[in-house]
Parts: sequence; C-alpha cells; structure tokens
Amino acid sequence: MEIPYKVGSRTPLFRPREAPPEAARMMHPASLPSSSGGDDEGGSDSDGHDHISELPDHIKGSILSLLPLKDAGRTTKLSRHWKGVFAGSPISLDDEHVSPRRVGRPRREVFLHAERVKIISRILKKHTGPIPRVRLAKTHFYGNNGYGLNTNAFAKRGVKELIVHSTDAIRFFPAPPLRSVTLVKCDWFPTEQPLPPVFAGIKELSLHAVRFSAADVHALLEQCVQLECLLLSSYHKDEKDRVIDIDATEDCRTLQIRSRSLRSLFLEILGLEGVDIVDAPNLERLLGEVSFDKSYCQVTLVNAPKLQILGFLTMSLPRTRIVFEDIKMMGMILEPSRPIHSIKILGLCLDLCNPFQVDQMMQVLNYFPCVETLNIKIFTNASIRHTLYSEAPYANLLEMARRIDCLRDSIKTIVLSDLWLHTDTFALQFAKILLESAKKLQLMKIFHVPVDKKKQARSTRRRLGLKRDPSIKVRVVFPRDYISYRQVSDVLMGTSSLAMPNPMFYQRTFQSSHYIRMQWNSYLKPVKKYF
Amino acid sequence: MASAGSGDEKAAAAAMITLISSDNEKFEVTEATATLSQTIRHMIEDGCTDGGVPLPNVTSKILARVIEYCKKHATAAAGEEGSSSSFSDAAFLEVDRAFLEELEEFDDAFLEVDRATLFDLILAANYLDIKGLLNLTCQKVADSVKGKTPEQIREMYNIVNDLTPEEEAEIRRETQWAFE
Repeated sequence: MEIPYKVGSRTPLFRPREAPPEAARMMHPASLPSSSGGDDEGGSDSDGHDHISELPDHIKGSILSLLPLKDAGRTTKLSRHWKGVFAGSPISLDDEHVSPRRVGRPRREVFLHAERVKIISRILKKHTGPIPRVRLAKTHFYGNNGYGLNTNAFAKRGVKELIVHSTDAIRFFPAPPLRSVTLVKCDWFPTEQPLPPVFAGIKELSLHAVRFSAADVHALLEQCVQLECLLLSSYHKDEKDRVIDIDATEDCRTLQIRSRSLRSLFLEILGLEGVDIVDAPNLERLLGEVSFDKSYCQVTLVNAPKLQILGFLTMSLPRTRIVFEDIKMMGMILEPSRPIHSIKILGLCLDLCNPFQVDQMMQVLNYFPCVETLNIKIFTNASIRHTLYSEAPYANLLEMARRIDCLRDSIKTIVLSDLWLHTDTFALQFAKILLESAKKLQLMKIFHVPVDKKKQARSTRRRLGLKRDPSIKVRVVFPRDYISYRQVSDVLMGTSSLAMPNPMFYQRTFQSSHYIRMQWNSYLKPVKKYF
Repeated sequence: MASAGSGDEKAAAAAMITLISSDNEKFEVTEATATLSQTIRHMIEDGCTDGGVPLPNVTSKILARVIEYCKKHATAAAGEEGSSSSFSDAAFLEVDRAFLEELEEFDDAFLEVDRATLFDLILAANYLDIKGLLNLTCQKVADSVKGKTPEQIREMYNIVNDLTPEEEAEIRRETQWAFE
C-alpha cells in the first residue's frame, strides 16, 4: 500500500478511527458539548448544534430523496426552514408507498384507489422538484371509466424512469429526460401507430406480460431510434385458472431484429419459433428463454458483429431429441456456419441424462473459440438420474473435450447450475471432464440442487478429487444463493440491463422454474404488499 | 488482492498532487486518488495544480479523512476498470466481490465518526464534488432519520421548532398522507 505523506509534519497522517470526539468539537467553537452529549458511539452524540439545517438545500434535498416518501414528507413539520425543503427535493414516487396504513378490516379497492389518486394529485400539486422515478403499480389513469390520474401531471417533472402496471391505456406525456419505460400487464400497449414521440428518446424498454405481434415489435424497433435495452416477455398466466396463455402470442412466431442502437435484447416469448438478427451492428447481448414445451427457437445471426453474450442455447435438436414426458427444455438453437469469435460469455442448457446432448455440446463449443465464461444449466430428470450414468458411452468424452479450442485456450470460468451432485455420478464425471480439459480455467462454480449443505460441498470436493490431485489449480466454489421475494423481481426486471457483467449468472434463477414462476406471477399481479 | 495491487502500481507511476487544507497543512496524494474529486480533476485538466491546490473550505482533519476515503476507493475504481475491460468475470464474481465486501467494511468503519465530523465530511464531499463520499454520508444521515417522528428528529439534530400551532396544523393538513 502506498501511503501519502504529509509534508512538514511530524505526526502520522491518519488518526486512528476512534479519534477523540473532543478534537472534533475544538474545530467548532460554536458546538460545545451540551450536557446530554455523553454518548459518542456511532455518531449519536449531540452537541447542541443544528448541523443538518445548515447544509445547503440541494444536499438536504438529496438526503430526502434517499428516504421513503413518507419519511421525507414528514420533514415538512420540523421547522419553518424545513417546510419548503421537501417540495423542492427529488422524489421517487411509488403509489404503493403513499396509501395510508389502516388497522382492521381491509377496505374495498375502489375507495383505496380514490384515496391514492387524491394523495398523488396533492403531492404533484405541492411538489415542485424533479421526480426521477415513477412507479404506478395500482393506480389507474384517466381511461375508459374516467377516474384516475392524469398523466399530464407528470409532464416536465424530470421523469427518467417510468414503471406502469395499468390495465387502462395511458397517454404518454412529453417527458424529454425519460429514458426507461417498464410496462407490466399492459394489454393495451402499443396503443397507437406511430408511437408517441417520447419513445424516440428512450433507451430502455421492458414489456412484461404484454401482448404484442411481430409487426408491433418491428415497428417499435424502427421508431425507438435510441433504444439500447429491450426486454420482451409475453409470459403470463391467467389469474383464475392459472393456465399459460399461449394464444396470446399466436401472431408472434418469428421476429426480425433490425436496429442500429440496440445493445441488449432479452426475449421470453412463448411459442416463438425464430429470431433473425438481420442488422444489429451494436448488439452485445442476446438472451432468452424463448420457447415453450417441445418447440425451439431458431436463432439466425446475419449481422451482429459485436455480439458478446449469448444464451441459453439448447442442445436438443429435433433429430436427436429424446423426449421424456416431464422435461421441458427451453432455449435457443443456433446452427452457425462458421465459428463466431465475438462471443465471450456463452450459456448452454443440456440434459445430462441424454448422451447425445453432451456429444452435441462438444460440437457446439467448437463454434465459439473465444468464450471466456461458460454457463451451463443442467436439466436432469429426477426419476432416471440414478440409473443412466452406468450405461452412458462417455469413455471418449475427455478425449473429445481436450480437442476443443475454447476449452483449451480461452475458458476461464465455468458455472454449472443445478447439479444433483449427491446422487448423480455422471454429473461429477462431467464436472471432472471440464476441470481436466479446460487448461486456462480459474474458477468453477457449482450450484447444488437441492440447496446444498456444507457437508455436501465437502463430499463433492472429495469426489471430484480436488484434494488428491495437485495438478488441479482451479478454485471450485459452491455458492449458496437464496433468492428472496423482492430479489426475484429485481433479477427478472433487470436481466436486460447492461450493468450486469454476466447476466446469465442471475438468469440461472429462471431454471428453478416452478417456484420462480409462481413468485413472478404473483409479482405481475397487483397484489397487496407491505414494505 | 490482485486488483488492489495493480491499482497501486498504476497509481505510483502517476504524478503526485499537493493539497493544502484551510489551516495550511500539505498533503501529497497521487493523481488517481485526487481525481476522485471532480473539482480537483477539473483543476488538473486546466493545469492549475502547480504549487499545490488550496482548499480553503476544508480543515486538515477532514481532508485527512477524505483522502483516506479516496485512496481506498481509487484502488477500487482501478480494479473495476481492470475487470470490466477483460471479460473474465471470475474476477467480478469472486475476487472483486471479496474486495467489495472489504470496501463496504471500510465504508462502515469510515462512517463511525461523531456528528460534527459527519456533516463536515458532507460539506467537504460537496465542495470537492466526490459523488461516492457524498452519497455515503448522505445515506448515513438518511438512515438516522428513517422511521422517526418529527419530534424525534428535532431532538436528535437539535432543530428548533419555530412553527406556530396554526402553521403546524396547516402543514399537517397538507401532508396528511405522510403522517398516516
């Protein structure tokens, strides 16, 4: 560590952290210790001085913007000086944070809604500061039934991020700084053609459980000329009988992507059969869970020179597919004609019980000679996983693996998710093959199913021969990641975001399908939540 | 730690900048550390840092703390750049995570100061335009206010209530939603 030294000073530069509080007080003659100022731990001292009111207004504003809306609103009552601070501070408006807490019998939504609309309108009327983020999960707009919020109230309010769960069509207000739009369960979108002019400026668009046709998507790409991240998810279940609504995507079978600005594309469209990346010179990420049941989505890359992250590709081609009744493979199929050198992060999903698929995986890897991170999602059929390993013709797999370019030269990280390691011997063999053939490997992550225990990780480590074989220098880790309810929505909402270095690491949550799906569906529904 | 080490080497090769506090103490720091402050970055870009940068609004005590923060976070920034340029997210997933945890611990310990220092740090961060430090310190203040009634906040921060009962009633009526 280099240490900056103080010029012309004998004393060491940094005082220990527990600097005597007296020193601080001496700097401030006005702030002599008051009689009550006895406890100095964690900054809970009191020196009788009103520091917080003396801060410049914009700092007070940014402190308020870090608070929940109600807490921030309460500061108006502190003093005459504080009365106006809130009105000018940036706020994040969330309609789930404004409703009054009630004790006793839950009231009918129609009353609650009216109340929320009243409160939000009142805030909007009084508040003059910017509102960078607006989330309206329960509030309706002036729509078919004529009651609700007027979206024009948000015009010129510095809205950058808009999240709407609304069954009524909204009129998009002119908001130049708007860069991110998320629509959840908005059946009415897109309302008009051409799209409102505000869409020409947005950079991120996420459509969850929105019905759209291929023509809609094409028009959208054409008109959103600055769009960088696009998330399309048609997945939703009917609330009553919990059936996957596959007819909703009847008219969205093949997509053709033409966009000069697009950098990240995430697709989760039921029944999608093909995606052609016709012209996307800036596309870096193509991610998706694009198919349903036994159909597959054919990906064709025509012009995507910058594509770095791709996944998940499925190994199960129609001709080699062995269908087990309860295995649902989802993913994309890509049959490239020549090696793709731009791909750095690759996601594959394969069924370890199927010997053809492992073979297939080796062949697919040949097309990606520069991959550095390999994410492998493993599907195993719980009922047959005990038996198949013995009869599998895997003897020559290691030999094959050693001849693959990317395994030999470029792969540094391998993430194996959902391995039934405690019973599935082949999964261990598979991991071992990868460990031995990937010469540049630095890190291997193994996610156990069911959620692992320390003991299990130890036994896996032993069975992989990590202790005995000193030639294996790879760090093998067994992360335990529990996903909380809130995180699920964050993960799913943010998958298309460019901020994620390896989106597939998060995307593995898609696989634990049943649980996650249920969580996700309950998120899509505007339900009562308590924060 | 690999990322921290490379950051230091990079920083050591860079030029040194002298910062002068309000009570005339001189601190010598690397350019990488100093440029975490947008104010100083602009000064460097304008080429007016010869003979030291006078900071008349910052005392030596506070400046020492600020430099301590910048040093730590400058190495973090260097590490981040290193890992995002190459696609080996092994670095991101494991090495950097450990480093980020360490950074978080550092931040927590860094904020263990008395209130006067905390507010001086906010002012210094604002003056020097150090986003990370400003966010960190503001978050600390926000956390201390969260969930408190106006009376509790007034007591905590010695805010004098100069509102008349009528005014108070009016505010309460206007921002009813915040008090329910």
